[in-house]
Order: sequence, then structure tokens, then C-alpha cells
Amino acid sequence: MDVSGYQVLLDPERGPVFVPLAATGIGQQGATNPHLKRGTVAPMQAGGAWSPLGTGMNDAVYVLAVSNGAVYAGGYFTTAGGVAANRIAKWTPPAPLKGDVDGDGDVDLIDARLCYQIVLGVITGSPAQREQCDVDNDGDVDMDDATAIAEFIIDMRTTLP
Amino acid sequence: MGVRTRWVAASLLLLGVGIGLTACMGGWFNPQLAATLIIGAPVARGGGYEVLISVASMPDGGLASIAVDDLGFTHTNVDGNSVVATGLNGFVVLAQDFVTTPGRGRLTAVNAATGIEGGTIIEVTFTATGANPTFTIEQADKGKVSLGSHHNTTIGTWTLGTGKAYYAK
Repeated sequence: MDVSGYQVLLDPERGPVFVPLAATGIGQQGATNPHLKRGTVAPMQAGGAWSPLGTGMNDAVYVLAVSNGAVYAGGYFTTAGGVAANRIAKWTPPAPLKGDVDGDGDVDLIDARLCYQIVLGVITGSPAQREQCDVDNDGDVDMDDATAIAEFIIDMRTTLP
Repeated sequence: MGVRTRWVAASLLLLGVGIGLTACMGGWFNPQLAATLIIGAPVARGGGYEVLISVASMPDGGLASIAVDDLGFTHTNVDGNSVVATGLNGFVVLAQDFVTTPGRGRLTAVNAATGIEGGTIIEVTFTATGANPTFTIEQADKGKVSLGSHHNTTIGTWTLGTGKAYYAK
């Protein structure tokens, strides 16, 4: 595990906590995370909001680390996400969903419009958004992609290429 | 002009000013209507029929996207193969599919540039297979309709209006 960029902080409720520098806010003065309670791991999103990560653990989490895109947790728990765990667990984020241009976890009407806006140049879109919009994986974002998403959301097609 | 007449005139003037100010503050003459999706009744047009889909009081910069799932549209006495949905006022129909039997349909349309707070967004044309064709979104099928705003947020609260086209194209 690559531990560079991490620090050990003293959390007033849980004791020593191993966290990425400037990542979670755990133990930092004034920082609170209502989701990070006993048995729960919660990453902070880019926008600054906390959200639960999976269904959590059945006992305390004392250590968090990120390595190669995976989150490792250590503590007293014996189950993690409903799966038996011997006090250590690894969570790998799911691959980005093709067509999920706004990155909210599903492909819907908003994604169809965002992709169409990128096609027309109304918006540029981030590299990640353009990648998600390119549902036919042909290396560009065009009407084929916007149409495919539009058809997908009304079940005219069951999969995206 | 007598004193009494002047008192009456001044009172009426004050009353008018008061009503005017209250109206400005309270929006008496500008009631907030619920966001509404309106699907008009079929109107005979050039040997076929036309249905206009319009919106009113759409929030968050106006309606900019709409998706109607399969069976969201239902129709009778309509040739499904003849149905063509065309976007208006900047809307483009990206996907559409209509079937004759059972009479059903679906579509996705978006406006890339802006949202429409009120106005017509889609024109549907078709030829009839019998008298008195119907083409509508039933209240029970309202759940098959998704609306998105100009700011690319979901418009979750809205009502469905039927029966007449509220807006000219």
C-alpha cells in the first residue's frame, strides 16, 4: 500500500485515524462528518458533501487509506458491505457508466441533453463528460451518441454500445 | 369642490395607491401557476391530424428536455407508422417510436440552447385509421414522463393538462 500523502490524525471520538492529506477532514479542527460514525466509511465528494460508502461495517473503522483507486479500511469490524471481513476491507469504485454524462450514477434525460449540448458545441464538457458521452466508443462525440442516449432512456435500446 | 368631495377624492386616491402597492408586493395580479405539461386534442389539418404539446410556468429557466417512456403516449384510430413528432421553439426530437396496435408511443426531445417557460414544444402529426382519433398522455401515464430544466435539473413537480392547445405555434 502506498502511504505517501497520508497522515495520522487524532479523532476525538475514535482515536488515531490514518487519512489522506486534505482529503476527508477527519480530525481536523472544525471539521465534522455526520456520516462517519461507528461502522461507516464515507468519502467526501468533490463538492464537499459526504455520502455513505456502501452499507458500512458492523463495528468501528479506525484507519482509511486510498491506493490505486481503491479505498482500504481497517478497524474492529467483522463485516463490510454485508460481506465477512477480518477487520480489513477493500472497496473498489464502480467503473463510470457510459452515457452518465453528469456523473450522478444513472443515464437519464439530463445526460441526453448534456451530450446533445456537447455535440452542438453549446457546452464544451469536461474530458470525463466527453468520454461518457462517447457511448459508441469511436473517439468522438456526435449525433450518434446523443441519439443513442436518447433512445436508451426510453428503452428503444436496452444497452449502450 | 366642497370639503366633503375632496375628502372622498383623497380617500379614493389613497385607497387606489394602497391597493396598487399591495398588489405589487403581494403579486395579486401575477399568480404563480403550477408547472404544467399540456397535450392538446387532435385537430384536423390537411388531410391528417395535428396535436400540439405545450408547457406553462416551467421553473428553473424553463423546460429544456422531455422523455416519454413507452406507453406514455396512447392513441386510438391512429396509424402509428404515420406519426411524426417535430420539435418547435428550439426543441429537437432525438428519438421517437410509435406503434399502431396497441396504440402507443414514446419520444425524447431536448432544447440545447435554452429552456421554455411557456409555449409549444412539440407538434405531432398523423393520419387517422378511423373516426375521432385520440392521442394523449393519460393521467395514469404521467409517471412515464420525465422533464428537465434549462439548468439540467429534474422538474419533479408538475401537472398534466389535456384537451386543448394553450399556445399557438
